[in-house]
Amino acid sequence: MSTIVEALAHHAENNPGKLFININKPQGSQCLNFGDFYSKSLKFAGFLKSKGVGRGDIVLIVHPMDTLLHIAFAGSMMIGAIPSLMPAENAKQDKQKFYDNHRALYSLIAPSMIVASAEIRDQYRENLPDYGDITHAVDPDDPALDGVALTEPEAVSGSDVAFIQHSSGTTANKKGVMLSHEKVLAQVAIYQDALDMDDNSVIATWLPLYHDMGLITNFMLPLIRGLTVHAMDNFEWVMRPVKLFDMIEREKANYCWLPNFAFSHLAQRARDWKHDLSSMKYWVNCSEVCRPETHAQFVKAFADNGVTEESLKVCYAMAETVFAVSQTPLKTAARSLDLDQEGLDRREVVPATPGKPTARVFSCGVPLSGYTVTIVDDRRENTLPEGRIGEIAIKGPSTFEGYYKRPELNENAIVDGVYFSRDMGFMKDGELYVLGRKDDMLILYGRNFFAQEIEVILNDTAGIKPGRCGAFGVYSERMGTNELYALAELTDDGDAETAERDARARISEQLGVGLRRLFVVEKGALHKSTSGKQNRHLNRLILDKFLQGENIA
Amino acid sequence: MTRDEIANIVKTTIAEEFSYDKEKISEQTVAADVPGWDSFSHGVLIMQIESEVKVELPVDKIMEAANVGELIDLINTELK
Repeated sequence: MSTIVEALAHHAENNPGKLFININKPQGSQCLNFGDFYSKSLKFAGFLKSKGVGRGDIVLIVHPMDTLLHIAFAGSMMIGAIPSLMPAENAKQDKQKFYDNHRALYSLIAPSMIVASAEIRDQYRENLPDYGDITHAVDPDDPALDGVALTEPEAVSGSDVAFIQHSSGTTANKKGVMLSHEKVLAQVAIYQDALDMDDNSVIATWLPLYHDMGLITNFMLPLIRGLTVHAMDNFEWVMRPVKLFDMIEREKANYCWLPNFAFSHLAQRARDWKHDLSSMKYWVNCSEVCRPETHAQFVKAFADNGVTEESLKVCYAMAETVFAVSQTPLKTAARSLDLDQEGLDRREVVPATPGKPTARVFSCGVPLSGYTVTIVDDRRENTLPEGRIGEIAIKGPSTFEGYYKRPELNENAIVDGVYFSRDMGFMKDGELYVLGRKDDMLILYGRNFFAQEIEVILNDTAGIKPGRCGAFGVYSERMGTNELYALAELTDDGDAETAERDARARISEQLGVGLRRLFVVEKGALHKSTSGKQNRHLNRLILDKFLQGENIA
Repeated sequence: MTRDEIANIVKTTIAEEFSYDKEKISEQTVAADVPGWDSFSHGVLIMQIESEVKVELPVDKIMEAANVGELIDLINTELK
């Protein structure tokens, strides 16, 4: 098997009645077995062809959670077109900004077709009129499609780009990660072994598919492996987290991927839930910084339901390698290390000593079979030994084909088949520890700090709104080094002067570095991406305005 | 519970959840007007409101509520 489409054809032929996906919605459930998935995708492929879409053309899919997403995606691949999922307009976002950003991104991507729900099509026609003519709402059950259905998929090669996964980041700056069929197949073949999956494995999810964790673990993996997925809407999950457990118990699910905040949300909302979760083999924590205390909180909340420490895994993954690079070994709990903070600041891994500032870091497990993880120095010339901190470089069978129409980014990202992640970390006893983004590293007075570790302190400072702050290093000619600056939004009762004074004292006490200034910004002024990560580039521009003496608040 | 009482609970909860000035919240207020009101915090907000008014709201109808006034109307209807 050399393509994703061939994998789907195989399951449709050999196990047509097997359930592929069951989407649980407030209005009722929506099911698709492998046979129907295949035949409906062929119809969709025919529809695309009838509209002039062909090999190499980009098909954007913007749709709420629905089997149409899966059908349109597979149908596009069946004719060698390149599908990519995009998030829909959200009532909680600034509408103008949303469409301005999409206009900029779409002018780069130049899609040949946009597949949408009727509601989204109308929104697009109103707000992105340049794309109105190519935006279509399609009902895969429309009898009119019978006449255009393909009888079989068109020939596609394993080295062809299967789809584009857009990375996190503000929409206009999203990077389109091109992934070929063979790379996706290679990842799934290895990752399923790392998870001890079998033909009867069942997945439970609420993740949207436009992020890589949802797309790969809850769509590509079960499609290629022939497994069943039970899904629910992400919005419903936030309000009714108990329903995820209802679904797991009812369907006897075995696997569930969640970002760290979701483990925390479930544990915090638990109200004497009686579910039997013993069917679950593994819960995988991925896609943001994973915290040992969150795992402990989750196990404590649900130990009586059958959740064990060993069933929780930490995974290091990214779209550029299709998905997983390393993961906690199967039969063990995720390790953590208590390290000397000052050692980390010097980029050294030194065990913590009592009475001195300590940083607890979580292991992301061992590299998957076939993947080599090395830690390299700043110039990417030398490999560093175990226990030394540097940039994480990855070589493996699923490294991406490059960023779509962004050649300037490819040059530094992949060199001789090695992907330089711009993540910083170290290896210890064969396991990978990820500390943060290279771009987020601040060098202050010759010491290295990750912006996140400073932001953790800011978050805990009275008067600062948790999650609404940023730390930056700014070069001072007077001092001949970078000095620490911060931006923060305040709580209602927060006072700028007090917050700055307290933050300065806490940072000095815990990290031994001085905070030069904390500037207070208006509520909502700091930029975050759709995945909730801070946009440091845009926030740095806000800081620059302060530094130039402009008051933007 | 009267509609005014519901409105007061909804506005107070929004103000507390997002550290926002309650006086600025009207029936026409939409999520995009309030800094920090994103999809996840919207779900958490609804859970808070539900625990205050002691009713579980239908998820599909919550998604249809376009502004604060419609959310208040929805709760008012569900409480009857």
